[in-house]
Amino acid sequence: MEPIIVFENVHYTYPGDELESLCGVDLTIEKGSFVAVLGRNGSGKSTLAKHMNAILVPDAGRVLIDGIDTADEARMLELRRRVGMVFQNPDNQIVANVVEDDVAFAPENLGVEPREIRRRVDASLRLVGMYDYRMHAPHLLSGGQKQRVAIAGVIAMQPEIIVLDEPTAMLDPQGRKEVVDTAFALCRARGMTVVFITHHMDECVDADRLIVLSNGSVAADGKPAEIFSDRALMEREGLDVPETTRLLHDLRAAGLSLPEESLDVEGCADQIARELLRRA
Amino acid sequence: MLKDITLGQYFPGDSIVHRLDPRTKIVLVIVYIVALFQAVSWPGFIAVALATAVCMALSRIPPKTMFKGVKPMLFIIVLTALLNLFYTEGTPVLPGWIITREGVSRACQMVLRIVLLISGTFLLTYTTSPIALTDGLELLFKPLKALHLPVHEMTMMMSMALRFIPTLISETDKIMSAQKARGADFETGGLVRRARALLPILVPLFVSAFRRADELAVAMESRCYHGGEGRTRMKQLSIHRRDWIALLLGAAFLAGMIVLKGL
Amino acid sequence: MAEIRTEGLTHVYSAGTPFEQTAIEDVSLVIPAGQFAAVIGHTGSGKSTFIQHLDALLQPTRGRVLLDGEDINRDKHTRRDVKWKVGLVFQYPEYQLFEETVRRDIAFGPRNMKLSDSEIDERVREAARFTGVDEALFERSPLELSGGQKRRIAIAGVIAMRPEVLILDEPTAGLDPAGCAQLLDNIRRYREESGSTVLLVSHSMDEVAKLAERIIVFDRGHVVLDGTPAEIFRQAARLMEIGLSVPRAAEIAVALRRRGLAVPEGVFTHEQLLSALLTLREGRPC
Repeated sequence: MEPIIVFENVHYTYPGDELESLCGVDLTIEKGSFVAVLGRNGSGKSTLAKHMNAILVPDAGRVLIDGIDTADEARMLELRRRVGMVFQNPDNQIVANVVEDDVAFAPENLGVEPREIRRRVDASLRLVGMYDYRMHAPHLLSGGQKQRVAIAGVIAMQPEIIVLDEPTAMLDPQGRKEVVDTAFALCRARGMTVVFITHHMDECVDADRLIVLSNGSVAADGKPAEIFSDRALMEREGLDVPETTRLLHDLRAAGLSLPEESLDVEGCADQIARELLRRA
Repeated sequence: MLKDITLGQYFPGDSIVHRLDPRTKIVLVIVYIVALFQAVSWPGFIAVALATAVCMALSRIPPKTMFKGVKPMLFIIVLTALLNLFYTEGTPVLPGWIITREGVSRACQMVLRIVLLISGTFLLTYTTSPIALTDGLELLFKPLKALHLPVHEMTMMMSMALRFIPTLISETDKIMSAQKARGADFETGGLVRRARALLPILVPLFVSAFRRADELAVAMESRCYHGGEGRTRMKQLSIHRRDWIALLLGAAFLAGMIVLKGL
Repeated sequence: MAEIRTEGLTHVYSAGTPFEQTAIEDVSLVIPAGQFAAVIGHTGSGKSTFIQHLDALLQPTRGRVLLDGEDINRDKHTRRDVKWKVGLVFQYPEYQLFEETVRRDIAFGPRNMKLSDSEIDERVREAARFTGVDEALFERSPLELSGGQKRRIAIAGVIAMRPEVLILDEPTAGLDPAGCAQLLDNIRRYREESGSTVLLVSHSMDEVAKLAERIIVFDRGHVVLDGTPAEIFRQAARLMEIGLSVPRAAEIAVALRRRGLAVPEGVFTHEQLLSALLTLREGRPC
C-alpha cells in the first residue's frame, strides 16, 4: 500500500508552553485506510491532527501529505484542499445561515466555477444523507446532523484524506452512530483515507488500525484486537476495554478455551456459545 | 425568553420582491429613505404610504408581521408623538388648550415617518436572506476597494455575526439558567447591584465567544479560506429585466416626490 | 433529606405561537429521599426540561412540583429557596465559571445564600474534597485550568450549597474514559457520605447500569419506562425501539440466549454476566 501521511520525528511545543506536545512522532498512514487515534485528554491527539493540514507546522522533523511538505507555504492551499478537517464542536465550524451555503464555502474559497460548486454541494449533501435539509438553518439541526453537514462541507473540496478530531464527543448515541457510519462509508465506499480521533472504544472496533498516543508520543500502534487485548496498555493509558474483549479475557482466565479475539457482540457470543455448548 | 427577539428576520418566499436582486433592493431602500424625507406635507406622506403598501402587498408578507417589527420601537414612536403634540406652536385645537392643530398634524406625520421608515427597511430584511444581503452589499460596495476599504472583510464579518446571533442567544439563556441555579439574583437591588449581577453572565459569555471565534478561525482556514481574493460564489447574482424596471420605477417615484416637495 | 414529587407536570414552549411545542406532558413521579435515580432519553425527549422544573427554573404550564410536600412554585420566595435545596449541574458546567479564583467561583452559591465567611470557607473545602479539586489550585484562575479540572470546579460550586437533591445533566460528556470513571466515583462517594438524593441524566447505559438504583426513561415528553436497572434492561427490545442502547453486557446476554444458552434475565453488568456464564459451565444442562 502507498503511504499518504508521513510523520518524520515530529516535535512540537505550543508557544508559551514548557512541555512538548509532540515529542518525536514517527508515523506512516496508508492510502485508503481507516485509522483511529486514541489517548487521554492532553495526550497530543488534536495537536497531531492539526499537523495534518498545516494548521500547525513542526518545530523539528517534518510532515508529508502525499509528498507535500506541510511547511511549504506556497502549496498550503493545495495541501488543505487534500486534507478535510472536521472538529469537535459542530456549532463552531459552520459558517453560513443555510446548510447548502455552508457546504459551498470551501469550493468557493478554492475559486471553483459556480456550476461545478452546485454539483459538488448536491453530491456531498447526498453522500452524508443531508440533501433534504439543504435549505435549513444549521442552528436548528441536531448535533449529528450538524456534524454530517460539516463532513459534507469538507467532502465538497474533494479531499483524499479526512481527519475527524473527536467529532462525536458532544453528540448523543444516535448522533454518534450517524457520524461513525458516515466516516466508515467514506473510507470503505469512496476509498478516502480517514483519521478518526475518539474516546469511545466501540467506535474504533472496525478500524484498520489503532494508534494510541501518550504524552506526545505513540504508545501503541496495531490492529484493534491486538491493542484491546493488551490489558496493561489499556489500563496505563486510561482506556476502556470493550466489554467483549473483557469478557473473553476473564472467561479464558477461568479456564475456557476461546482462541479467537472478537470485538463485535455476535462474534463474541458465537465463540462463548460454541465452547459452553460443547462442554454441556 | 431571549429567543423571542427577532433581528432582521428573513421570511422565505417566492414573490416578485423576494426575487429581485439584493443589490436592487438595497438601492431601492436608499431611494425610498431619501424619498420619505422629501415628504413634508400630507400629499407627500400619502404617496409614500401608498408606495409602501403596494410593495408590502407584492411581497406577500402579512401586514401583521410587518407591524411586529414596529413594536420594539413603540416607546420612541410614542415619545416623538407626545413631544410634537405638546411642543408645536400654533392655533389651539380648542380655545385654551396647549395642543395645537399644527401639533396634531405634526405628531401624526412624525409617527407616520418612523413607521414607514421601519416598514420599508424591514421589507428588505424580510424578503432577502442574510447571505444574499451581504453578497449584495459586497458587490455594491466593491468599487470602494479602490479606496482600500476592506469591503469583503466587512461583509464577511456581518454574515458571521448573523450566523452566530442565534447560537449566542441560546448560550446566554443557558448561562443565565446555570447561574440562577446557583442562586444568582438578577431581579432585585439597585442599578449598581444589578449591573454587578450581570458579571456571572457576561464573563462566561465573552470567554465562550472568544473560544468560538478561535475555533471558527481554524475551521475556516482548514476549509481553504484566505480572504476574498480568487473567491467564487455558488449563487451568482444577476440583474434581470425586473430589476431595471424596479429601479426605473424607484427613480421615477423619487423624482415625483422631489417635484411634489417643490410645489 | 428531600423527596421530589411531580403531579401532572406539563411544559409547553412558546405556547400560543406557531412554534408551540410540548416538551413534557403529564409527568407524575415520586423520587424518594436518598434515592440514586438515572434519567435517560435522547436529545429532545424532554429530560432537560424535566430537570429544570425540579429547580423552578421553568414554570409548569400545568401540574405541580412538590419538594417534601410543598409546591416549589407557590411564590417568589419558594422559587428562590428551592435553589438551595436542589442543586442543578448543567451540561458542560465549566462554561459558567467566571470568578478570578477557583475558591471564589466555588463560593459563589454559598455567598448568594448569605452564609458567614467561615461557613463558606468550610463548604468550599468540603466541596473541593468531594470533587477531587486540589486546594493548591484555590488561588488560580479557573479559566487557565484543564477541561477536566474546570468541570470538577463547576460541580464543586453546586455541591458547596449542600443541596439535599443533586441533579447532574450529563456530567461526563466529553471527558476521556479515565476522567469519566473518576468523576462517577466522586459522585457515588458524595452520595454515600451526604445521603443526598441524586438524579443523573445520562446517555450512557453502561454508566447508569453500574450506579443507579432506578432508571426513568423519557421518550417524546413522556415517561415510558421506570424501574430498577434489572427491570429496565430486561426490556432491551423496547429500549432499542426508542433508539436507546443497552449496556454491552446485556446485549451479549441477549445474543447468548438466542444461541440457546440459559443466561438468566436481568443480567446487565460484566460481573453478573461473567458469574452467570461460569455457573453455566459448572454443568447445568442448557
